[in-house]
Amino acid sequence: MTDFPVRYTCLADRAVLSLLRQYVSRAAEQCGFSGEDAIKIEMAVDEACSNVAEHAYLDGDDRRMITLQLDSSPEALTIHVIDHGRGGCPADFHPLGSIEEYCRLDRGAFGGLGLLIMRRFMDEMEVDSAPNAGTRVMLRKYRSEAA
Amino acid sequence: MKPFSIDVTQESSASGAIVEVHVSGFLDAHTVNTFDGRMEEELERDVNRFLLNFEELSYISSAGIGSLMVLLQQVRRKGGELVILNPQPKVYAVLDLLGFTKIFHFASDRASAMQALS
Repeated sequence: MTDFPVRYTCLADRAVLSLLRQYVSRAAEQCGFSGEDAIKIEMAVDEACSNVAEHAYLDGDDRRMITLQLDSSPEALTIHVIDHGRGGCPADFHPLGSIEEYCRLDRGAFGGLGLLIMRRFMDEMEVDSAPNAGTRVMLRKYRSEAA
Repeated sequence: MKPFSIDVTQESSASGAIVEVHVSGFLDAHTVNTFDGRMEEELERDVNRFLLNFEELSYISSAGIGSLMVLLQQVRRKGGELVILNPQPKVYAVLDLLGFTKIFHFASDRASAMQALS
């Protein structure tokens, strides 16, 4: 059993995404989440971690680390996904308005779904990011009886 | 958990070639470039009908869904179609929660998938 809060830091690389998913999935299960809610938590955190692995650091940056901080309360599971990369303007974190907008087949590219997933699958999401100061994404899921 | 792999075979039908793509493991930001590259090779051979066998796909992320959208866009531009065969409950649940079960065609057995593509 894990004693919350817990922090887990590793290399921010796409190759570790499956391990991070397993880690979060087990933690969500331990906190009593199952079924659809567990799937949503795993996927939302995976999207945040994927963003870090793909976008947070410039090539050659030796600070390429990602930290997951998980905290459980009687009401909710809260996960912070933290990097120390180049950061960005919070306006960049505004997702598409809808899946329908994403699914228009005349689009030139199909980006932006990850942010939509984080907002849709979690009960709360906040982004704290500034240029060259890294990014902290907070994802919170309430237990159904507490929602 | 199965590791990521792609196995591509081709079948002939009365109306032309159908490419069957068997994907195992997970389709995420780490594996999607390999998947994209393999699909691009098939599209360059002028194939426009794809059967994506997801029986052994255990996870799909937004990167994987985006890749499927690009493939769907390309095959439809070429007058073709794409059918997803027998996705695992977790993969189907994600696609359904996000509304993609209205976008993609699904089949629960190979015969009906082949029929939908013929």
